[in-house]
Amino acid sequence: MAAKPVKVSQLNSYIRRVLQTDPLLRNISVTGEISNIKYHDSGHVYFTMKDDGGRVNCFLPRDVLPHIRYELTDGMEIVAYGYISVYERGGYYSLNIRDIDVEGQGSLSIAYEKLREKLAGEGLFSEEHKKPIPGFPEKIAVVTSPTGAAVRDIIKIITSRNDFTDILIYPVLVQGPGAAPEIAAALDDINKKFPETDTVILGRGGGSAEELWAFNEEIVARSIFDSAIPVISAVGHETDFTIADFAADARAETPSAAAVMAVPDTSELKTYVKSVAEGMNDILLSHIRRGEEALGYLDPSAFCRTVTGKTDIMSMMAENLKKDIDTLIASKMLAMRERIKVCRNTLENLSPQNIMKKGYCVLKDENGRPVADTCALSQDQTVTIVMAGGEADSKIIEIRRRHDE
Amino acid sequence: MSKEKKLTFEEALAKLEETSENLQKDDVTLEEALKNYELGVEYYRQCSEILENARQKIETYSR
Repeated sequence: MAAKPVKVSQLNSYIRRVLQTDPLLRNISVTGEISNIKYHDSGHVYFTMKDDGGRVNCFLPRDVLPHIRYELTDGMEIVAYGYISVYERGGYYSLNIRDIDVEGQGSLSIAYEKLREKLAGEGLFSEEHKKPIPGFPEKIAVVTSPTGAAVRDIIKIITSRNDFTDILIYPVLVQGPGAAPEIAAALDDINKKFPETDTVILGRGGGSAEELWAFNEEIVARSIFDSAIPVISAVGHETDFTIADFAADARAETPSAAAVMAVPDTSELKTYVKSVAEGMNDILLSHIRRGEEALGYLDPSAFCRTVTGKTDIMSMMAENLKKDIDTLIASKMLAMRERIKVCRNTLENLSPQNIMKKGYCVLKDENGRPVADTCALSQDQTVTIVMAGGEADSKIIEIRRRHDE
Repeated sequence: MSKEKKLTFEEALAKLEETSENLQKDDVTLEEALKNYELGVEYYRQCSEILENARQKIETYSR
C-alpha cells in the first residue's frame, strides 16, 4: 500500500534533504571524463562527467575557478572533489565542485596545450614583451625551494664564476597545490620589496609532470608576465618545457644553466678589462713611436736649407720686379718729354713773332692798342705798324671800307 | 669629467672599449690619442674598482 500522495515540490524537497544530509555525499571525490563543458557568461562553468556506465551534471562556481590548477576541456580525465546539491525546481542533482585534479599524462597534456594556446592568444609569450637579461647584475633573486638541488646548484655556479652579484634566495613551495600561488606571490613581492633586483631566476630541479605542474599554471605565467624585473625560467631538465618557460624573458635548460646565464664570469671580465687597457698602452706607444719617426724626418739643417733657398728665390724675384719697374718708369718719362717738346713747338709756331715772319703785321693806334677794323681808323690818323724786325709810324691816307662785312 | 657621476660597470666598460677603438683609428693625432688614452685609463680604473671591490652577499629571505 502506497503512502499518501505528496506534491512534486514536496518530493523534491525531501530528496534534497536526504541527499544533502548524507555524510558521504557532502564530501566526495569522483573520477570521470569531462564532456560538454560550457563557460557561462556569469563566470560559472557547467559540464558533465561521464564514464562507460553513466554521467553526472557538474557545477564549478566562478569563485572556485581561479583555484583550479588546470585549464579544463572536453575529454580530460579528472578527479572532482565536491558535494552533491539538488536543484529542487528542476528535480535534478549535480556535483558542486570544490577542486579538481587531473590524472594521467594524456589529460595533463591536454590542459597544458589548452592553456598554452590561450595565453599565446593573449600575447603573453610575444617576443616584443621579452626584456633583456642584464649583463652585469648587482643583485639577483632566486625563487625556488630552499632545500632542493636547484638552489645548491645555482649558488655553487654563481659563486664559482662571480664574486660581485648579490643573491637573494626567496624560498617557495615548488610542487603541490599550494606551489603556484606561492610562486606568483613571490614574484609580485620581489617586484614590490626588492625592485632593485636585476634578474629573477625561477625554477626547480627535475621531477615528474605532476611535480612540475605548478610551472604550468596560469597564475604563475601571469605573474612572470607582469614582473617588471626580467625572469629566467629554469624548470627541470633540458626536455621539460613549461608554460613558465614561454612566459619568461629567457628560458634556461636547467637551474645551473640559468646561473650561467644570469651572471658574468668576473675573473674573465677582469682579464678582458686588463687586456683592453694593455692594448691601449701598446697603441699609444706605437703612436708615440710613429711621432718620433716623423720628427726624425724633420732634420733642422735640411729645414734651414729649404728656408734659405726659399728666401733667395724670393729676393731674386723682388729684384727682377724692381728692374722691370725702373725700365717701365724710364720709358714713360721719355714718352712724356717727347710730348712736351711737341707741345712747345706747336706753341712757338703760333706766337705773333713767328706769324709776322710770314709777312703779317699788327696796326696799333696812338695809345698802342691794336686796331682790328677799319671802323676804328680816321683820315690822317697816325698809327704804328708792328712787323718782323721792328715798327714803322705811318699816316692813314685813305680809308676804303668794304660794305659786305 | 666622469668622476662626478658614478658609472655602472657596463657603462664604464662600454666607454673603455670606445676610447680604445678611438685610439686605434688611423687618422688620430697624437694629441687626440693622448686624450683618449687618459680617458681610457680613467675608465679602466673605474672598471677595476668595481670588480675589485666586489662584496657578494648571499641571503635567504624570510617572511
